Amino acid sequence: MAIRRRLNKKADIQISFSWLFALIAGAVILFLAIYISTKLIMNQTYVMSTETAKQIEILTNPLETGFESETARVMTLQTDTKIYNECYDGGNFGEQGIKLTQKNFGKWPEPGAEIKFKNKYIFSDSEVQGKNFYLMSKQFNYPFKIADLIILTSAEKEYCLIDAPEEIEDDKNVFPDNVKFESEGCSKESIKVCFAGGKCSINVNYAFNYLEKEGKRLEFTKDLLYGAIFSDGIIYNCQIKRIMKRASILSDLYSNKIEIVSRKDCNSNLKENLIQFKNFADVDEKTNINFQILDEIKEDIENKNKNADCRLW
Amino acid sequence: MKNKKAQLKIQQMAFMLIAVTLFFVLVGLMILTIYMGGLKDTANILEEEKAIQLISKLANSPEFSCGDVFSRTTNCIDMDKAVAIKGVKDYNDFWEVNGLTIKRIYPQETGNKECTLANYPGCDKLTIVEKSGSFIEYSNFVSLCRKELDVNQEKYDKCELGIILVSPKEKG
Repeated sequence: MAIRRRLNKKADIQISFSWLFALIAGAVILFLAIYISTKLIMNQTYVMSTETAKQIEILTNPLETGFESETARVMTLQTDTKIYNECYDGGNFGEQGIKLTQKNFGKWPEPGAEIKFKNKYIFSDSEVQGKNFYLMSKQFNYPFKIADLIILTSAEKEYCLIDAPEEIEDDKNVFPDNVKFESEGCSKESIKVCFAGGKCSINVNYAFNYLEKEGKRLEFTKDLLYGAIFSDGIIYNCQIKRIMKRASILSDLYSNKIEIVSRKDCNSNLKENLIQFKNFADVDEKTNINFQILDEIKEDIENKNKNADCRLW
Repeated sequence: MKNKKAQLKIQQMAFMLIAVTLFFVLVGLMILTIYMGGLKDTANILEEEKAIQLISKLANSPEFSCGDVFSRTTNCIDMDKAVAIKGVKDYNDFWEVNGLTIKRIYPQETGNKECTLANYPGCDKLTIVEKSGSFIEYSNFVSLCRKELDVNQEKYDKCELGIILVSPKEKG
């Protein structure tokens, strides 16, 4: 009796070889499937992030075509996204870089590959987070058209303009929904931008062309004000250097144009001013742009061009 | 006898596992092919849209646009300025295109003669970027405007029909 009971117990734990084989093979296949799927998902996340960065580049094109410049448009992404704005001021025109990462299972994976382009100027914080973003474009003429500036903000951040001068209020239709004037009613959490002093995150001295933000002083010329408000100091200083590099090359272009139109009896007295403008616009990496001097030269050029026999731009 | 039966079962199991795996792989491949096919079409449409936007953007960029010089503003190229680019080398990689050409199509006077600073405006074609290789070209009609002198040596604005041809850089 006792022997039979022991034999039965042995049979209870006895697993046939075919079961053992199936379990091991199944485990191996399952492990491989999970491993490959994880790798594929990670790869796909990287590809998706890179593709989305490229799509942002494409999305900004209409803002520079002339039909849609000086407008704002909303950009909605499928998941919570962090956009990294990178700016490089080396070379002839510098470079604009964009990379992003999208939240996946509650975590932020490594950002996708950086997309670089030379002919865009995106003003924003170094890192912008959200699902809905606003793209606003503003033409920059100094004294001739230099570029369409693109201002990128997250819909999660609201800006409140307090005591803004009339010139700024005239641009109301250019602003996206997250930029409001005090008269429209601002939320408590909004970033306050003061134009006439006060306890604000950003204090603008409109008369002397500078603003103070996070303990830093950013100098601007009128049309660059929005760039200074909505981007951090590093990005702003880099972008204005890139823009001024393009301005300096454009002044070369207009100097060449003077010679071409002079064949048609169109004489211009702007050549010397353009050379002067070029010298002050193209500064090396360590020097800051002197907008006070440039504003004076610009005004002079603007007046001469307005009254010229044949306008250059 | 018992051993042989077990071996047969292992073989059966192994074949079954391989067959099931192969089945899923094939189904996966089929889904991937259908998905990739749709993706390719979408990519081509997007690429075309992007190229058209790029052309408009180029025509209205400060290097080419008419600004306030002529009565037209959008899709108007100031040829006096565009020719001046010939003297500036910095623009080679700026627009990230493989080819960028402006052609006068009406009236064509010189049979596609290339413009230089010396022969302008006695020419029909201005090549700004030309990279070796064969690339897809997209085009759009534009006004080509310039300052001209009439028979009485009076200045006037002359605008003609032109085309802008762009070969965008491939994806990636």
